[in-house]
Amino acid sequence: MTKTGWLALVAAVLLGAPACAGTGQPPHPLQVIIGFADPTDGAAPATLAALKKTSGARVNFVSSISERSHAYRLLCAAGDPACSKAIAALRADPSIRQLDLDQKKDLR
Amino acid sequence: MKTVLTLCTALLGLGALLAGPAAAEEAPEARVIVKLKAGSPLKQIQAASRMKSLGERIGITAKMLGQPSPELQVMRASGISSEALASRLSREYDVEYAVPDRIKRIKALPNDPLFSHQWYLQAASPTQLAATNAQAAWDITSGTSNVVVAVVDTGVRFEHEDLAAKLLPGYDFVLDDLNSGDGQPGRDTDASDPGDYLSTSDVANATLRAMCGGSFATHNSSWHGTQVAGIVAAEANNSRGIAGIGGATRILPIRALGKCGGYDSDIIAGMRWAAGLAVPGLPANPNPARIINLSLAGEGTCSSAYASAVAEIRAVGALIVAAAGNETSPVEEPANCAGVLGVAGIRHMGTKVGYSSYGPEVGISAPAGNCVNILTGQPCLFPFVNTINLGLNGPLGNGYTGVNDVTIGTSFAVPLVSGTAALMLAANPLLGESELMARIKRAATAFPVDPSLPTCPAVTADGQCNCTTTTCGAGMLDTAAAVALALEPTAGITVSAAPVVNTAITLTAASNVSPVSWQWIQISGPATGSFGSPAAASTTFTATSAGSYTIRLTITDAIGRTTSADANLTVASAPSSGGGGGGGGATDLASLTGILALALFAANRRNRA
Repeated sequence: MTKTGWLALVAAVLLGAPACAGTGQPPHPLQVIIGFADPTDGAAPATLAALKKTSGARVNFVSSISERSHAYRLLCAAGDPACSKAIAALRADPSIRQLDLDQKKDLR
Repeated sequence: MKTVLTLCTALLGLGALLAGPAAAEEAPEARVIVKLKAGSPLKQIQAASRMKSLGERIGITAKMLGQPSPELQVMRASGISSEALASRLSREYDVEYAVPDRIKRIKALPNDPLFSHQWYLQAASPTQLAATNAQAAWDITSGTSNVVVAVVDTGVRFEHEDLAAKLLPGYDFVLDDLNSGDGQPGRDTDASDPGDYLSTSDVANATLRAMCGGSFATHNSSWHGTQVAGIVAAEANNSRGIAGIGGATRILPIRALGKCGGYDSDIIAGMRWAAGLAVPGLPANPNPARIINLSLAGEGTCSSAYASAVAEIRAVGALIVAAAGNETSPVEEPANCAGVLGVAGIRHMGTKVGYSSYGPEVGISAPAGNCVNILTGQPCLFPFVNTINLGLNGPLGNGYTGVNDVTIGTSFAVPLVSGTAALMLAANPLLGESELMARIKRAATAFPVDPSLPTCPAVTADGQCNCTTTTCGAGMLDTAAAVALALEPTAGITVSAAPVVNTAITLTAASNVSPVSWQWIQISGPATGSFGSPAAASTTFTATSAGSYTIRLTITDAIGRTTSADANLTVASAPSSGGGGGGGGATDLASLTGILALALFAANRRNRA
């Protein structure tokens, strides 16, 4: 790369970084509710390892809803194609009966 | 002797005087409130002639005494009791319901100083068609502390003077510490509301900003859970503040919303725990709720997570009541989930309030507060008056919203329905959640029509429209009528043990009235089973083949009212003979008997035949 090219790249990075920051918020991990076909210890290391293996993403346990249903945080941002792939893979897992995004509700 | 004769004469004369009124009482005079079905041919004729024609049909001379609402007529007839006339009319194919028009004693209004501003609890009138008649319902029941309504919301201020005596301990389900803002890590036993304000430092917090998304600006605390709890159960007649609609009903506060709302996972876990279902890692709920109030919503269709939880909660008999939403949009989640009683908001005159969401998933409409076309600076005329904390951020002193504040939203219509359901359960504890829902809908008042407004789903620029049953539910909430309907007979069936081929099980009737007759029949099944006492309160049933059977119980009470309940039985094949281990059988059967002694309060169906 020429000197001019390097300068242009550095300038682009320097200018682009604040611009990216200005687009808003840091990506927030995607939170999902997974309903298992069978009663499952949602926080067990074996469960987390299986979810990680299936999804290809890092998975953190958040909370339990019932003996079959638990909330998890996928360490990828909503809108990230990798996240979409992870969700599709989890939904295809026969041990998982349902997967929903853990969304926000507000007072009305 | 003279004295004795005089006394006897006087007594005879007194007897003759007393005989007069007694004789008059022997000719009963009936007054019955009648609601005709939508398709009744009698609706084609003038209201005044309907009751006469209906009376002629059943062989009595009747006339209309009055018309409390466009859908209701009061029938008067001589020579028959109100109960008997109501019973006969109830059997007519085009009568939705007929109930005695009973005399109520004049009762003092609650002495709560703000009660006069709680227009939505008063009798419906030409100037407030949508008022719920709750005041009249309190003449039937003042509620009971045995009925618990869970308010899944922002938590409550436990020290509020109008709520303190009505609040159970509850639980805090807000897991995320930033979302929670209560300074206590994770879920905990403290359901108090620390305030859901967003401060400048909150807004500067990148993690919270990312979590909240969307519009994210500073605002004061709403004290929303305290407001909603007060609408259901603020203590009445305590010379303070307001009156709750639910009388003696108690509140189970479930904190699931914090700064920027709450996650589905926290809300669903809170709903399940409130109903008495197990949530891993949490202690059992010692005060399960029969009604779950959700004055919350979010866009989207009903997710499988909500659908599953709703099914589980309904299975244990709890009614879920939820806000349609404030977006002038399709009904939001979770009100759009099957089995949830979705509530839309109407104005004081019964038309859809502009902001209310609407659609076919709505089950009922109720007042949500509206301000009557105010200009800037003018007072809001039909708001709610609610219990609240006065702190802008964290809690300070407790108080009430202003009588002309803009305190409105479908959030506030929901607790009117929840409180109504609580009163119904106080009147008839045997009602199941599907019966509660059905009777709230049946008791609803028809929507009025304002000729200046379009018919929903078409709306004016500010979202108003004339409600229909496909956009705003069955009608306008009528608390008094719903509580009256709750008193109609209820039937249930208790099954003694798991049914096995060629082994008699015992079926026992349950009811909120004292039946005079019982009828047990088999509706379906792979083979005809046999009843030991098909006309008794309790009978044996023996199936000759394995499979699914439906058994129907029909009861009739002393005034001829009938109702039915079904029990679905799965009859297992007889165990193969010759196996070992027979000694354990008695214990197993005992366990099964205990487990299966379930009150199967299946959906009651009025038998008008």
